[in-house]
Amino acid sequence: MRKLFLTIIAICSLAVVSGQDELSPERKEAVDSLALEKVRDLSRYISIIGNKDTPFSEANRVIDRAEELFAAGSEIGVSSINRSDINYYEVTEYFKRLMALNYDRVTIKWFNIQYISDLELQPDGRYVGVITVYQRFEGISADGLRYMDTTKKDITVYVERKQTQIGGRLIGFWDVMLGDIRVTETST
Amino acid sequence: MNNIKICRNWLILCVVCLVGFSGCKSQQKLAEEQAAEIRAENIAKSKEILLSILNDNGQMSTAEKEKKLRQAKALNSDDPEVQQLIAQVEELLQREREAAQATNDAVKVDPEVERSLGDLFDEIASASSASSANGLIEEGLSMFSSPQTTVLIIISQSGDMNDYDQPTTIERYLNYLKDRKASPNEIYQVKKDDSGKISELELIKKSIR
Amino acid sequence: MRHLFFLFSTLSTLLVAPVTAQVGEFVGDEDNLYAATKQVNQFLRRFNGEEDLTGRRYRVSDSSYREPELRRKYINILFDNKQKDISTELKEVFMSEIVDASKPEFLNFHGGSWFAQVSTKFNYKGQDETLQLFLRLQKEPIGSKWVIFKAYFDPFKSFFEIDTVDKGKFIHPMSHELDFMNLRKIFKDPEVVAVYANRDFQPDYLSLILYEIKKGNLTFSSVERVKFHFFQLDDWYFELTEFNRSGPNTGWLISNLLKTDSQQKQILREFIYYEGH
Repeated sequence: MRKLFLTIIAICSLAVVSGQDELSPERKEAVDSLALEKVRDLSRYISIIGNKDTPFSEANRVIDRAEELFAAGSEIGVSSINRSDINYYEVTEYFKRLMALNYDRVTIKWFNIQYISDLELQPDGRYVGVITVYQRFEGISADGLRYMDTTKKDITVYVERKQTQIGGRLIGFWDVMLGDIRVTETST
Repeated sequence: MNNIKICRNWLILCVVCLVGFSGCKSQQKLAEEQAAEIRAENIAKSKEILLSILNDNGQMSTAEKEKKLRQAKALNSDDPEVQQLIAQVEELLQREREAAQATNDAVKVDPEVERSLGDLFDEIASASSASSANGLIEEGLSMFSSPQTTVLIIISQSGDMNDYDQPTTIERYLNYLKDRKASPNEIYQVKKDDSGKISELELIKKSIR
Repeated sequence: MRHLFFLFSTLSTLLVAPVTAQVGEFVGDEDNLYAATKQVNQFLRRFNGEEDLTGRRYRVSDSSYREPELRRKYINILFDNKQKDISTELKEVFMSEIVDASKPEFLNFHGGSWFAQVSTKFNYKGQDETLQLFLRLQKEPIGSKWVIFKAYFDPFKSFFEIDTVDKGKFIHPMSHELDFMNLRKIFKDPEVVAVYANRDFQPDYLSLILYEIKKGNLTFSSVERVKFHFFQLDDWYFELTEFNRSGPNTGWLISNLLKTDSQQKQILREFIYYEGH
């Protein structure tokens, strides 16, 4: 009976251990920078989509690439200083709105600052983290009116260890997907 | 009266003997039980180590796996299940060693290929317009077996183990360079097909080079 | 930033160093954004002295990791400067007990005894109403997750209000002999049924809310505000709130600090949960 109990305990603890293998600091940092790279990809895609000089076909292609960065069902929640309500958009809708903004000129710039949270293990075995970046938006309308805001973007990042067979080799890779994004207008 | 006394002494003797025997017996039993427990623990521990190697999803290097196998073997378990797991792990390690050898045997990067590919990447990233970048992409794709040629990107290396970004294709990668206006990776390894075109490209992050 | 420079003069060289690779076009003027405590995660790391001024995580082997002098400086900028109830003296006592003590205390994300209070807006019978949700982290066989463990909804409160003046409503002590036949009369008046519950009765708002959501009477609109209550440090309670304002004193900051023993902590908890009043 005791033996059986011991075996059960061993098996149970094994299941837990295999899901929570700690990564070395070097590998953690590599995963962090890979996740940050995806956020930078997104930042760049947003700049291209928002730019009025981007040809329509290019903007649509980039929207496709930007969407591929996201896990299914991801949403973008936007609020401004004067409104506590949050408007929720699906990712595609958000990009389409960005492309269709009614300004003659749009400039999107990013602050050279980003904050990467720890990666936490969630019950499905994936890691989840949040990367914070800041963006400045400037739009000038046909009649010369200028709109400007600075937003904080808290971006969910899911990281999953996967394996694939390529040319007879087993390749272990990190699948990084972006998730929900909280966009808050900041008072700077 | 005497008879009763003798009887009583006998009884005491019997009781003492019985207690003594059973005492001996229980000590022996205890030792046996302890041995069985240690054995069970060793089996469980061996299984735990071996299964962690077999279930690893790419977190452990071959060297780490070999070290763990040695630990499991050191527990000296003759349990048939453990023996079977050891055989499985040895088979896995053999496969991994062969794959590593095959990688080492892969065509080393021809400096000319490295230069022309590197230049192509930089030119696409710094192209003045999307259309000029598209021209370069089209031109560049002719160096590859197909636009779907696999591109692997190493994001970190520790020991004999590489960590990769999600595999992509050359067409997507070249477009990525155009969009990002940056070329963050350099050539690590190139495989060619019979017609001399690139059939697999392995890149590595410049920052870890 | 000047403010931060002053506080961190000895470490200022770190700030001058380039931070990371560039993302195309940049805006300058990031000083206040550096100073801002941008995530709860950053609050915890700053509190514990586990990251540098650029937000880069220290490794456990780094000499600055959890270094007391660094912690002191960080904790100093983690208070809401506009909250006058947190006196300089109180901060000093806090600092001496948390940082300078022979056994310094650290915050632990998975250490329990802290929870989130989320003010949400729900639509209840055609009206927008505020609903409070209390969430805490729960360990799972793999990883962890946030779970709702308590809730409070003001419109339900009146259902459980008891008229303490009217002493005439009770189930008399010999009711059992009549198989409690008087329950028939009691339940005829739904307005006052709560008076028949025991003295310590606390309505379970979470069950009611889940029931009403399932019934379709309550629909979620939006999250309005989030704050955190920390009971993790011995003899201390603090509240963590997010501030969105100009200047360096912004982001996730300590908006309330109290020195409390375990009994007071319990009273405070009940107060936060809207219990007992």
